[in-house]
Amino acid sequence: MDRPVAEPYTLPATLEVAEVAGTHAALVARLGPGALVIDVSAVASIDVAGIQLLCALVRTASQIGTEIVWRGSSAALADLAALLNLSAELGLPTEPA
Amino acid sequence: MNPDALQAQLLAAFYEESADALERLESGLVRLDADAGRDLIDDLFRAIHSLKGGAGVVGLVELGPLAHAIESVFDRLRRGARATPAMTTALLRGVDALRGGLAARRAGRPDGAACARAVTELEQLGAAVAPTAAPPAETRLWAVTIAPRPDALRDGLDLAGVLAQLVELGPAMVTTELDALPPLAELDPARSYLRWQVMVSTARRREELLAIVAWIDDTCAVAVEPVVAEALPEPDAVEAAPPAAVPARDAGGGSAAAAASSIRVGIDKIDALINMVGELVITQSMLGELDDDAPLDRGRLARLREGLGQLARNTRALQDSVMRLRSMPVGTLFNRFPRLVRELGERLGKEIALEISGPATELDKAVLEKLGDPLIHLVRNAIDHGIEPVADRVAAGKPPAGTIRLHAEHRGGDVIVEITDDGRGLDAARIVATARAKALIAPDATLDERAAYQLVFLPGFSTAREVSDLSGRGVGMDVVRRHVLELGGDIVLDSRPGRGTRVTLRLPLTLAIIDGQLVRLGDRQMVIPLLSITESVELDPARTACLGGTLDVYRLRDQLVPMLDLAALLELPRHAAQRRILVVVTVDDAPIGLLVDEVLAQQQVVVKSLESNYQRVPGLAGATILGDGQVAFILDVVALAQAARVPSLAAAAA
Repeated sequence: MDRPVAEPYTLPATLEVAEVAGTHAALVARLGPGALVIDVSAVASIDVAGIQLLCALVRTASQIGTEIVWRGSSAALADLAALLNLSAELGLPTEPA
Repeated sequence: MNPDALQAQLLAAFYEESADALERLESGLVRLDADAGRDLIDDLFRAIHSLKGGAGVVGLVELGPLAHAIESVFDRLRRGARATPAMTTALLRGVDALRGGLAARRAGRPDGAACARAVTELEQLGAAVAPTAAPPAETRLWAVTIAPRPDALRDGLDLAGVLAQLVELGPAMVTTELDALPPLAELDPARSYLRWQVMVSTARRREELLAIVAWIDDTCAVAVEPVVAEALPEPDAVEAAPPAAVPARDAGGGSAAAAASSIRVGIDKIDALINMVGELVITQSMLGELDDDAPLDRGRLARLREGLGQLARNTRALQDSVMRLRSMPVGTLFNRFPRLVRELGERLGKEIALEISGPATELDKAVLEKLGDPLIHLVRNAIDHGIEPVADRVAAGKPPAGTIRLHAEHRGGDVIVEITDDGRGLDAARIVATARAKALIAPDATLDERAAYQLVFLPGFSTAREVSDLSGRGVGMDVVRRHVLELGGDIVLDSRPGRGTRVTLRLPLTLAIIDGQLVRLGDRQMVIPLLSITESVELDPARTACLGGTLDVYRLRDQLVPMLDLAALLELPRHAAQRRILVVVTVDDAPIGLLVDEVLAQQQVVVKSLESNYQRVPGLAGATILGDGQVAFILDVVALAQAARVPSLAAAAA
């Protein structure tokens, strides 16, 4: 039932409240059965709205049994997730640098 | 799944993970003094880091600041600070406080006091390492809750900046409350659904904290409350405690008991089990094919036999697999000892190296749990009485550091656990003298060395010339021995003066299945644990006597053996038995004869608990179901001997 892993979805450079609606629509469209690969390496700035979106994505994905695979790394995302203690919730790699 | 059940499940999983992490921390910290290598420090950092994260996820907020403080110390070590023994000790205390905090939470009454104290200690340690970071004395734990209005994000709320400022005040933990988050499709990405709580341990005043959150208090509901962690809340006072100390989503209490009796099982064991069940299903379908109305000819009979043979093999294999599910490596117990040895050695000024071998040896979880106390006592004894002070060792031409060895292995159907020290050994003459002085043996009794050593297991025996606070806790070797016997095991002590002592425990692999001797009493069958039986003889009425009108004895060769009439003891109807059998069992090194009507087969029996199925019955260790469906009771030989007040070795020898 696993469909072949689709093209990774690349998050935009700015994931903040003003721009987050487009990303939301793109994620809703892509979330389905099978793994969803998300490339975070472009994310240069992210705010609470951005991380809230990612939390909703991860929660919904785990409810419908979809695996979220993070690809690449983003210091901005890692820092904010660490500050809000959401690294584990998001399933981001927690390996200390 | 409803949120409470999910939270309970998360908590249960976290408790198990945290136990592993705490053990990893503890055993690593003990090694820290000798080996402050990068790998070890990284490993410790990871252990506390994931513990901190996990605590946040399940909402154990009171542990956050302490976990953070410990993590900070490791972080300093990673950045090149030197580990000191004082630091190790403070960290170990921190780990203790974490464990205590977890236990308090599991018991349903979260307590931040010990954690807060440990935080202060670790901070002072930080001050000693880096004097610039000296914290003022009055450190308190604060809970800052931030609940943004739904439209707060649109107004460009700089929440991250405020949280960052709060976190910089001291050891802190942020919890993000995600419960209001809708499914992705229903999410309004510009609306705020999240709430935050920051627990921060700081000496700053409330006003200073309020000044930080003032930036956002027009768009968020903000509260700054001290966490009352000074007095331990009484169980019934928990309701009255401020909400910060007892977060509403505490579903852990109810599931504590269930979590306590859970076990982590390796995937390989489950896979083996599934394989076995697969085999069983194949056999069943093969036998199922024979289940029609066709006559049972030779070919079908052969296949039936073959199927039954397979079924027997499968069942045995399945039994083994299921038993393996309950087993755990003895290393989980051994891992508690490096710290014990280190601390006791420090306190007594003795240098002691601990060697552990065979930690992968597996043992039934129930046996393992009950083995803890006896083993701790034996190791304490070895440190306190066995290993000599450094000066004495050097004078005796021994290396200054003593060695204690913990070893486990499978031998036959049993597990052997050995505790060996290279200390002064036992003084047989002194043991015999003490036993005489305490009238534990007859004044003229002669014992060889090995027999003399076993005297230390007698109740009321203690040769320690001065009772120290370590071994002299009122728990003697007799209690250790009783615990081991209750496990269906055996304990033997061997020693060489000046060279050391070895205590060998022989333990059953499992408590769930025992080797039993079936005996008949009237029309009932009973099971006597085979391990306790030394011999069975046909009763010769001419050799019986009644001492003092109360104690029946039997003259077995040149020894008088007390005799128990099981039928009378268990209040079973007496049958005029023509020929009776005396089954001789050994309890506390003393033989006791049990009168039965007939000795039947020996077989493995599955022990069913009377306590959980009915109630505890004195004299019975449990029950089992025999092949023909009959229920047979398993005799508790130790209790029977005590109930009948059979005098032990001392009086019997006198």
